[in-house]
Amino acid sequence: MITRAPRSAPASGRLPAIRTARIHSLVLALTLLLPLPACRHSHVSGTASTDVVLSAFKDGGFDVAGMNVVQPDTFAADHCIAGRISELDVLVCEFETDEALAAGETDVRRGWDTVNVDTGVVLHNGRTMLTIADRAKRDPSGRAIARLLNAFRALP
Amino acid sequence: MKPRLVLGLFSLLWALGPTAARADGPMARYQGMHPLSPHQGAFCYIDAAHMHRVPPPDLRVYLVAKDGTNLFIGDPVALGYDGPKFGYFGPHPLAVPATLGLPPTFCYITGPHYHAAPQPPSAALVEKAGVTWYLGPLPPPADPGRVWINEVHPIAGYAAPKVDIGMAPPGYHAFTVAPPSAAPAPTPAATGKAKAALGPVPGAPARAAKRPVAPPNPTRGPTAPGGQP
Repeated sequence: MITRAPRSAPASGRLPAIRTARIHSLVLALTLLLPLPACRHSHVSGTASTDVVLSAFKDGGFDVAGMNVVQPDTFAADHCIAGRISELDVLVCEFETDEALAAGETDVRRGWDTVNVDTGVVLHNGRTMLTIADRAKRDPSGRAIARLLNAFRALP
Repeated sequence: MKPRLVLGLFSLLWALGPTAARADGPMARYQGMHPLSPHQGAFCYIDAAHMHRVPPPDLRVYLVAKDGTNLFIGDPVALGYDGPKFGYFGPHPLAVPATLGLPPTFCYITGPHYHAAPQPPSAALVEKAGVTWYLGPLPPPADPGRVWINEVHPIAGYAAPKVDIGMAPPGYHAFTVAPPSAAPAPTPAATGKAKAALGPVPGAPARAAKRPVAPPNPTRGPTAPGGQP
């Protein structure tokens, strides 16, 4: 149950103490609550961020407007973006650990065995995973996919 | 297994595009570039590990690693590749990705041909007349299944490097490759494994003569010109 502090002005001598208490409460609440969503949506340090990946794709001449942050929907990945680039389904995820990355790659490949994908690629750079799926033979020669892979591999 | 990730991927796939029908089964794994089925000139330029719904139509131009990954080892230009190319003459060591766990492997294509990648620097490889010649020790006798690679017909318009044995550098010795007719017809199981050093056939002619019968396709039955099933 939420209780509100009275809005009426307190006595002048109590004001600083009440404000200090409120600020302390707010800081405590933020300290406790902010990490909860952040642990699912913040970028992972020590590996290429999805922002950098998108920037590289953009520099490579691709339209990345169709890419959006998505809920990773897994405890394995920490931050993901997904969407379409050149009519290809693209998913980029950041992982906290090598084990989670390996599990994610394996799961993606297994997933393709049960859905209708003509061409699928899973590649990682550090602990950032790039997944490209061509489901409608939009890129039968793989030239666009190869360009995306090259841009991804070139990231530091 | 992280079912949540699979579910997430499925959700993504279903949300982003047309209805995804259930696939028939595991996808075929490939490493690097390769001709696309049915080997009539279309080529896949993905130079990384990837998967296709369609398996290779002709295993004579592939090695298959233990995990099922198909590695194209033929002449890519002969099957439609139009990227950077490097000429070779006769058998030579092949640079294969270490991640596949394949043993040291030779290319057993006789005569002039191309590959998409240059060889790493080696004293045994000499460039002359625009192609690379292998001057090292004799390669292991070819697995009978590997010899069939010389029976794969190029697509129309293919031009091999214009070089012949008379242009070989000093010290070059022509390698002999067993004619396919002298070996048992390869089976899918035999050709589907990476056996680079089996089936010794010493003293065989360097190149199989025109054979009276069409070579069998290891995986899809008789082949038509161009390696198509």
